[in-house]
Amino acid sequence: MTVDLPKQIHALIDSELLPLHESVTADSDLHSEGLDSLMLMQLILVLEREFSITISPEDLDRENFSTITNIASLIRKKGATP
Amino acid sequence: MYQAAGTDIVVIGGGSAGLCAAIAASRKGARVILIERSGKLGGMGTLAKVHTFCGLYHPDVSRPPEIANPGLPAEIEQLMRARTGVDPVKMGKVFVLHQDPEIFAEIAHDLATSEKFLELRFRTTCEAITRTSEQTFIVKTNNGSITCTSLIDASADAIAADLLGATRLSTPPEKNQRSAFVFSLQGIDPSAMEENFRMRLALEIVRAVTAGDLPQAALGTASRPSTVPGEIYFTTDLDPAPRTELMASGLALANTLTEFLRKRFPAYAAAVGPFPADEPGVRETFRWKGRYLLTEQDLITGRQFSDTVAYATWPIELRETTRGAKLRFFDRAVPSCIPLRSLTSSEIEGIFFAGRCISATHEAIASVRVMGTCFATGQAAGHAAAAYVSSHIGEDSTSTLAAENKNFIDSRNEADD
Repeated sequence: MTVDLPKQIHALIDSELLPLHESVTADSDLHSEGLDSLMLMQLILVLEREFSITISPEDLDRENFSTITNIASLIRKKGATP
Repeated sequence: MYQAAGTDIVVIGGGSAGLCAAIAASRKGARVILIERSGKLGGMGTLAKVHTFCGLYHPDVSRPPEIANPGLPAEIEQLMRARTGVDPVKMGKVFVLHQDPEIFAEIAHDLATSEKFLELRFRTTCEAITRTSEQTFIVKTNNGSITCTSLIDASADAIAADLLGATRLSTPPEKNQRSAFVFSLQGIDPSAMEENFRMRLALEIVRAVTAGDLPQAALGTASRPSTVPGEIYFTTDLDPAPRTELMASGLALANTLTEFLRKRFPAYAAAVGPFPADEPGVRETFRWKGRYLLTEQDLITGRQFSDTVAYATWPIELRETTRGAKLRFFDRAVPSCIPLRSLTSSEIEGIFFAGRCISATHEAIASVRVMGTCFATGQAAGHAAAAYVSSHIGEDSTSTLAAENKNFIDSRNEADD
């Protein structure tokens, strides 16, 4: 697993879903940056594609996707292959 | 002396923008005829069942929701909240107001019919428009011709530009904003309203598409509880096609999805419906090229204009791909300015535009097309057209109109551009 996982996630969100302000860090609340529940589904598809993982219904918790750090730990838990 | 035309102002289109344009102008004392191609007012907010008012509120969500544009946008918001009992909600980084399309149709009808200078003509379409040597317009419709001093194009498709031979702007089809199709289901178990349930449902839809159990078109389907208990709205994303084909594919998708939901989810087993919209939700077609072309940069950077008449608050919401919406928020959480020059033509005097066909780029339209902003540009166009009419009437009972409109515009001035 690459150490740059948070950076990779940041770049994916920024380019595919939601241009992120420079001030957004790995621990910023993404929901208050504009990530809504509709975008969450797009985000899941992007993550599954990029990291060859499968997100299960049980993972669909707002908390799991509230920060880049939380997304990174979910991806690690899913045993991603970058 | 001014010779009375058929009317002072003709408004083309009774959607959010045309409704507010017609009411605002008639409240200024102008005689207005509003022509609407369908049988009801409200446009996308009723015909296409677009059930959320976006662009109503100040973009700073760290404060309680506050209306960005005074006047009719505030009035309609109040009426809707009083009828549904629903308050604005925060969705990500914006406040929105969920609305009920049937109630909106009633509110729109009540507001319009209480204006004594406003006449509504339903099932009426514009067939030709001519500009006479007396500086009036003759609007030929399927229900007879109307002569007027001023014209407001709130058709969403810049119909008047087409009929008058003025410049119309459009975006290449591959870059055009995608359309939506909305339907609702009733008799749904309350458990299905929860956000977690709806996220799981969205994921199941994605999985079913991958497995070939649902068509590709089902990707990007979103569900949201309506303001009515037991009812859920589904918004589906459609591939670009002519309007009639959009309708057919939307209806087919609504039936397929309903069948799928009934089978897969016990909470949907007793679902009644689908109750489809009368029309697809079209986001982009043609627009005017006005005295000023509003750009994404203007909105993002909060550019100030000396002739600001309305405020935009919705982010640039681009829906160009099947992957769904991409949002770009303003640099600062303050409303951005829309100048009167984006509602006026440099080619034809006496015509104003409002709503989705104002003079703006593809990206800027992706912000200003939402209903809350359409109320505001409609109101501004109505005031401007009334002022134009009064300046042509001269020493008439309505001659205070121009001064009033100037005050209206002055009160919105912030700084020069």
